[in-house]
This record gives sequence, structure tokens and C-alpha cells, in this order.
Amino acid sequence: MASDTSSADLSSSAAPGHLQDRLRLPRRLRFTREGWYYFFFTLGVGVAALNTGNNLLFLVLGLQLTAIVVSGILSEICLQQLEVVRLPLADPCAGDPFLLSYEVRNRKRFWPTLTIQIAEKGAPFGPVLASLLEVGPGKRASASVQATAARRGRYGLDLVVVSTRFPFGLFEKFRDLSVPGELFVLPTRERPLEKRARGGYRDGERPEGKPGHGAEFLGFRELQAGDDRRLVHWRKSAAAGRLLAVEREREQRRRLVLRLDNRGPGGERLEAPVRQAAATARALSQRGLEVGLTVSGSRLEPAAGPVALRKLLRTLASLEAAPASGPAPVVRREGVLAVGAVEGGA
Amino acid sequence: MKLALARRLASHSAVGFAFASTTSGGDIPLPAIGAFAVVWASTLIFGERIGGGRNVLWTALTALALAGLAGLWFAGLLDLVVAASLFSAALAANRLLSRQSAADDGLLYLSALLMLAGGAALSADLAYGLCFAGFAFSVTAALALSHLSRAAEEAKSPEHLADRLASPRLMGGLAALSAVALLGAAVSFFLFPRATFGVYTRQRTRGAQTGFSGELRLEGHGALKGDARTMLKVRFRRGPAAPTLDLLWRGKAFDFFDGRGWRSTAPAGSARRNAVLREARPEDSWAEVEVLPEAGTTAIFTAGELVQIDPPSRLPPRASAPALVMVADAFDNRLVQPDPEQSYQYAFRFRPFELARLAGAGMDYPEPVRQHYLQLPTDLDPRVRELAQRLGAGPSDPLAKVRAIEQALRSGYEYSTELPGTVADPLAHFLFERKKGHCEYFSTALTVLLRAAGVPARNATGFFGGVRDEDGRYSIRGGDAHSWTEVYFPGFGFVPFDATPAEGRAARPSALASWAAQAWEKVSARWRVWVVDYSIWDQMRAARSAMGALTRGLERFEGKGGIQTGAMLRRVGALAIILGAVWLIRYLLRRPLKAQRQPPRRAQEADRLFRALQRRLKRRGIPRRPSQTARELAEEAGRRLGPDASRIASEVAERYLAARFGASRLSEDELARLRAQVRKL
Repeated sequence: MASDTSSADLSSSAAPGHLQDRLRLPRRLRFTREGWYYFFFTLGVGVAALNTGNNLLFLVLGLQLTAIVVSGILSEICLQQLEVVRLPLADPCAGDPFLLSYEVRNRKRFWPTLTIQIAEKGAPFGPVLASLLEVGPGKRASASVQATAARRGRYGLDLVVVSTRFPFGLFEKFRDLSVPGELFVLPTRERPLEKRARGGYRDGERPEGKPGHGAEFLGFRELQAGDDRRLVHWRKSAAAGRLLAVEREREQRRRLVLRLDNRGPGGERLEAPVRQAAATARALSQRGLEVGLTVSGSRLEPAAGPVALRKLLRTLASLEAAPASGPAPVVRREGVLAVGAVEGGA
Repeated sequence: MKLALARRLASHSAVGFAFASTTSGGDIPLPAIGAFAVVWASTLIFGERIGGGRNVLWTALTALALAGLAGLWFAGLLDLVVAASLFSAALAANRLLSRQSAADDGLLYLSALLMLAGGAALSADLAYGLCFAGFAFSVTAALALSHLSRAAEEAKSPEHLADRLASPRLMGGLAALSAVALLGAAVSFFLFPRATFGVYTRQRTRGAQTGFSGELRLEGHGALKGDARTMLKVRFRRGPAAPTLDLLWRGKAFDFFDGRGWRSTAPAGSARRNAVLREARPEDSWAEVEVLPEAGTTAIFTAGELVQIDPPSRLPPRASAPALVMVADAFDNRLVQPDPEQSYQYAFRFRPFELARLAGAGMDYPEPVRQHYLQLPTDLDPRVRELAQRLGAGPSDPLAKVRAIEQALRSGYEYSTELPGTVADPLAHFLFERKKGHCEYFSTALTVLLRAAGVPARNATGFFGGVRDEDGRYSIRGGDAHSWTEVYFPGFGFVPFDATPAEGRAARPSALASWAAQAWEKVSARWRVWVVDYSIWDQMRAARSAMGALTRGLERFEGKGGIQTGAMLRRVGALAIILGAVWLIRYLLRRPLKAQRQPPRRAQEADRLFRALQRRLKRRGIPRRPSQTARELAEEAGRRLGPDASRIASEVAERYLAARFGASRLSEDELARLRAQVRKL
């Protein structure tokens, strides 16, 4: 999911640029099963009233028609002046359930919004609905729903569909809202690859003999302005009669580049190496290594930390097959781990 | 209030009103009413789970009911609409008993609507109108509450959260919604064009008042003397002017007595436009009679010696309906055809019977009269013949015989509406054992005794009396229903005699009942005029008057120096077109919706709040050092600025940390309050 919170204001209409989209009605209506029964019964009463001229049947017909009109007005009020926010969440893995959350703000002054459902349009997961029973006037409420994306990928989430069956459950009214956002579905989790890297690497970090922020002790120095007071070595300072700070040795992280040759037909043959690369990257990053990725025509420099790992995994999430005649993944003088070469790759 | 309870109350009200609407016409059998009432009340009190999940059983019973009703309909024993209404009731009972979740409510409301539509075909009384209003009010709330219940169930919402939905605010809103639905139904009713094509129509049956149906049973309870509903309204063009009348309003006569009751053997009559029976005299009285739907009959009621009857007409007139005609049979029973399903009126000329002319009429009866009006059951108690012989033995003149037997009954028997229950021979029981009874016993006794004494007679039913109202018309009420005897005199025809003691003839409604009945009648009259008899002519009249009012208004506007009507209409039209075009262009050119208003992110808000605190403290000479944590900054502010500053800074720091790094969000109110606190520093 894109890191920023995405939101849309329901007080204005969603209108994509094409004329066809512009001409599309701002609301859609669907009959529920009970709504179809009601509709046909109303039709029957109408025919009976017209046939017999029985005024009391016209009275019943009037009640039924009024219920339809009232239903339309109330459902419209329900969907108006709502603000929908798609709350951020971590990128999910394909096949893993994740929680999709929304915050809804009802900006109406007097009318509550009752029984609304929120769904994503064009999302990579099935039709899941986040339900909200009530959002009071001027109040906010949040709703979550569990979803599972089947395949990795980078998906644009443009439209949120807010619907309601209020007040009678006879009709369901839908309103599309533009809530731009992005969802990265990461490759499926699996066990990391057990391979030796070319050029060798070992876990942990290597001291460089220079001051830095590593774990190894390098020496003492006087405390300077701006130093964190937690660096003060109190016993030594007491002995020396001045504040002494502990100086630590700079450490160089181990770097490793995952080489994934994505040239070839792609499809399912690409999926296994991608999953292996993602699993390996997760494992290595967890052990503190700087992990990079090189694929045909693209390279991600090694870096450590969760942000770098997310970038790498997102790259893998959106990785597609390159042409067989494309350039081979670039490898420099560094630790390289080849991950499941695709048939036909170099 | 609990959501489930509110829903149950509303849905039971809706179903109850719908079922009551089908019963207002009196066509639904009592056992069916009882069975439905038991299901309705038990599921209301104990909840729908009383059905015990035996859905297969309830469905089988419903299917059985369907088969039985279809069979009765095919056999011609049950009207189609009654059968359909009964099946709808069975379906509703099924849904009440086998409800498992709010998803089952849809069919319940559909069956209730079916019942309501069935009731519309069965009855046009005000009672239906009240049931309709009750249904409209409750079903709107019931539908909404069922929808909320269903949504809560589908969202697996905890019960206490669902119950919070049923707040007083929501209930008030639903009441307003129900009122709107009722109002909307009324508006739709008046505006919907009344065009009919009449492929299959069904005549609405009237609930017959006792005595005006095909037969008269002595075991029946008769008309209640306390019934204050007005049945007839009479205005005399010329005639009586006393506050109360002592006229017998004859509706129907019966000739065949089977020992337990009366029935008419007369073949159906032929149509007559009007009837002139005798030569008119200047001193004859003229009466205009309005028969209200409450009478439950299409009979023509007449009084005294009938001279002439004018043809009946609908009240109010309905141009689209077929014209009414009067049909009379051989026994002078007159009916209006077809059933007008509304009030109808007619006028007749009459004069009092001159009983003195009957003396010496003789007993030379024509054969058809002997054949019909001397009939007695073969198993007639011999004591009845003995009594007749004894009472009629003295005089030879038939009028004297009649007077003697009539007087004997009046003086020797008491009037009573207390019923004896079912007895084998109600007439003998009345004459020789109980010696008490209501008017039907007296009239039957006089008729049978006269027949046993060789005088042709028949039993007649109708009303007695009438009380003058403020508008000068006389009201004849349900409690005035009466029964008496008509005796044949050669050369004169049938003349009425009444053996019932005087105290048992007229109605005896209480003051409260009279007041209630009058109020009911007023509303009923409006109901009939505005709803039951509302027609396309009324719509056209209303449209014409609206157009007339509009035209008059415009003319008045022109007269005051306003612009010409045509020019104004053109300008209004042009303005409407321009506004429509502007709206359309704006709609088509509307921009793709983006995140138009970035809602406040809680973490950012917390950051801003803490930055505001830092700025404020910096101004007070306490800049935040890079290594200083939020809590340390607050402590330092407290040390240097005093306890108030300490409290504010500490609270802001704690809330900042909780909102920024914890799950605790800052509400808008809290944010505003803390900002105000910071500004105080």
C-alpha cells in the first residue's frame, strides 16, 4: 500500500476524464432479492388497482411507491458528505491475509450515516466489504476487513465503492469515490535459499579501525558539545576528573547482491526465483547484511534496514520478465548470490 | 431499547394491522382469526424462537393450508380473495414461527402486504383505513429496524453495539419517517391517475346486518340494542316532524319457517326503473332515505303503505360507475343492483295504514297466498296449534284474530335479549317455557300462531323508529333493527303488526356509545367521500380548480402592473433552460476527484502540537536541546516556569508520546484543548 493515507471527499463526484466516464451516472442502484420481490409485488398491486379501480388498492400502491421514493432519498442522504480515508498498512505478501482499514468521517450536521459498506474497485483481491453500522453526524468511525491477494504485483487502487442498503434493504445504492493509492503485494513468503555467495560473505559486521557508531570499543575522548550524554563513561570520567566519552569503532556492513536473471518467458517460471529472492533478502536483511538486487536492465544497490528491504521487496513485487535478448544482470566486485536463473537466461 | 425488541414490536404491529385489515370485511372465519391471534400473541410475548426451529413442521402445515384453501376454492366454497388472504396469513404465521434471523423478515413483510392488499378487496370500511394507517406507520419502522438488525448480524456486531443503534434519536427519526411514508401514500393516492381497464373485478361483499341476509335464524343473537351506528338517514319532504318516529322500516320478508328460522323462497326479482303502486294523494308523505354502508345490505327500506318509489342513485354520484336499478321479487323485497359499494339514496311516497278498512276483509285468500303464507313445519309442537286455536278461537274476523293474538303476546311475554342458548325448538321454548325473547321470537310467534289459526302471514325485518338530528334528518341506528309480522288481508295485501312489547323496539345506546358512533360516522363519511369514492372526476375537478386558482393569481398579478402571463412564463422557461444547461456543463466538466481535503493525520497533529510547545518554551527562554527527550523538556519547563507550566507541558508531552508512538489517538476536542493550554504558557 502506498505509504500516504489516501482520502476522498464524498461531497463531490468522482469523474474520470473520458466522456463515457463523465456521462456515467454518479450512483448505481441494484435490487436486492427482497427488492425484486417488492418490485414485482408493487407491479402486481398497480395492475390490480388499475384493473379493478379499487381505491384502497391505489392507497396500498401509494404506500409502496412512497417507500421506494423514501428509500432513494434516505440512501442518498446516507452516502452524502462522507470522507473516506484508506489507512496505511504494511505491504502484504501474496497469499497472506492482511487487514484493509478505512476511516470514514460523516460531515453531515444532523443526519447519521447507517449501514454502509466499503469495497475496493479493481483490487487484486476478491470482493471484500468493510462494514460500518453507524457514523454519527460530525463523527468518525473506522472499519477493517481482511483481504488476501493471490498474486504479487503493484496494483493501483483508484476507486473505493461505498454502498448502502439503508433504510429498507430493498435496494443497494453505490457511489464510486476516487481514493488514489497503490498496493504492493510482495512475493509469497517461503524458506530462504541456502547457498554460498560468490566472493563469500559472513554474518555480522566488520570493524574498520576508525571512529564510528559500531558495537566495538575504540577508545576514550573528551566529551564534546552536542554529544549524547549516554556516551559518558562515568567511572573513567570520575577517575580523570573530566567528562570522557566512549568512542566506538566504525563498522562496515557486509554487502550482498542477489542476482536474478529475469530474461525469458516469464509467467510461472519467474515466480519461483522471485519468491526465493524475496525470502533470501528477508533473511539476509534480518541478519544485518546490506542486500542489493540486480536483474536484467536494472540494479538496486545494496543497503541495510527495513526501508531498503521494503524497496527491494517492492522491486521484486513488480518485477516482470525481460526479453531474452536483453542485457544480463550487472555484477560488480561484490558478494553475489544467484537466485534461480530463468531458463534461457545468461 | 434493545434493537431486537424494537424490531419485534414494530414487525408484530405491522403484521397485526395487516391481518386486522383482512378481518374488517367480516369474511375471515373465526377459527382462522383465533389461530392467527394465538401465533401472533405468543411470538410477540415469547419471541420468535417459540417456533422451536421446527421449520419443516411449520412449512408442512403452511403447505397443507395452501392445499386446503385451494381445494375449498375449487369446490366453490371459498372466495378467491378470501382464500388468498387466508394463505397470506398462514404464510405470515409460518414466518413468525420459523424466524431465525433478520434475513427472514422480508417474506414476513411481503405476506403482510399481501394481507393488506387482500383486505382492500374485502372491505371498504373506515376500519380498514385505520388498519392501513397503523400498518403504514409500523411497517416503515419495522423495515428499517429489520434492515439494521440484519446489518448488525451480518457484521457480527456485538449485541450491545447493535442495541446502541436503537437510540431515542433513531426511534424519533423512524417515527418521523413513518409519518412521511403515510403522508406520501396519501399524496400518491390523490395524484395517481384513476384509469381502470376492468378485466377481472370482484364485487366487494357487505357484512350483512342480521336479518338482511338470506335467512333469519332464531338461535342467532339478533341485532344488539346498544349498536349506535347509523344505518339509515331519512329526510321527509313532507311527513312526520316529531323528535322520534314510530315507523317500521321494512327491508325484507321471509315466508318459509322450518321450525328454527326463516328463509325466503321467492325467486329473484326483475329490474324496475321505478315503482308506482297506488294512486297518489296530496296528503301522502315523501321520504328521502340514505342507506349507509354500515347497514351491510342493498335493501330498499320503506315505511307505511307504499305508494311510489323513485329509482335509487349513488351518494355521492359516480359518473364512471354503472347506474343503479331497483329489483323487486314476488314478496315485495326490493334490492339495489348492482351493489353500489357506497351509500345510496332513493325517495318514496307513503301513507299510514288505515287499519279500520281492514275490518271485515274476510278470509277468502288466493291460492298462491295460501300456498306460501300458511306453511308450517311438519314437526311443529302440537302445543303451538292448541295455543293458536285458543287465542284465535273467539273472533271470526281476521283483523280481530290478529289483534287478539298480538295482544296476548304483548301482555303475556317479556322482552329480553338474554339468550337461552341452543334449544331444540326455540319457538316452543319461547312460548311455553321461557316466555322471554327478543323481537324475532315475538314476530315468529305471532306469524306462526296466525298461520296455525288459518291467517296468512309472513315474517318481516328492518328497523323501527328513528331520532331527529340537528340537521333535521332522522337517524336510524343498528340498535333499531327489528322484526315483526306482515298479515295478508284480501283486497289490501300485507299489513304489518308488531307483537313485540314497546320497550323492546327502539335502540337503547348509551350516551358514550352514541357520541362515539357519531364521531365514527363523521370520519366514516369523510373516508367514503375522500378515499373510497375518490374518482378520476374528483381528480379532474381538483386539477381544474388548481388551474383556476393559478390563473386567477396570475391575472391578479397582471392587474397590479406585473408583466404579461405569457411573457412571464417564457422568461421562467428560459431561465430554467439556462440553469439546466449550466448544471449540465458543470457536471460534464467536473474535475477528477482527488484527495480534496487531506484529513488530519493523528501523528502529524501530535508533532505539530509538540512543536507548538517547543516554540512557546523557546520564547520563554527554554530551548529544547537536541538530546533532550520530551519528558525531560517538560520537567525542565516545570522547574523553571512553575507548577502550572509543569502540568501543561507534562500533559502535552505525554499525549504527544502516546499519539506519536502509541496507538492512542488525539481526538479533535482534545487537540483543541491542548493547543489552548499551550497558548497559555
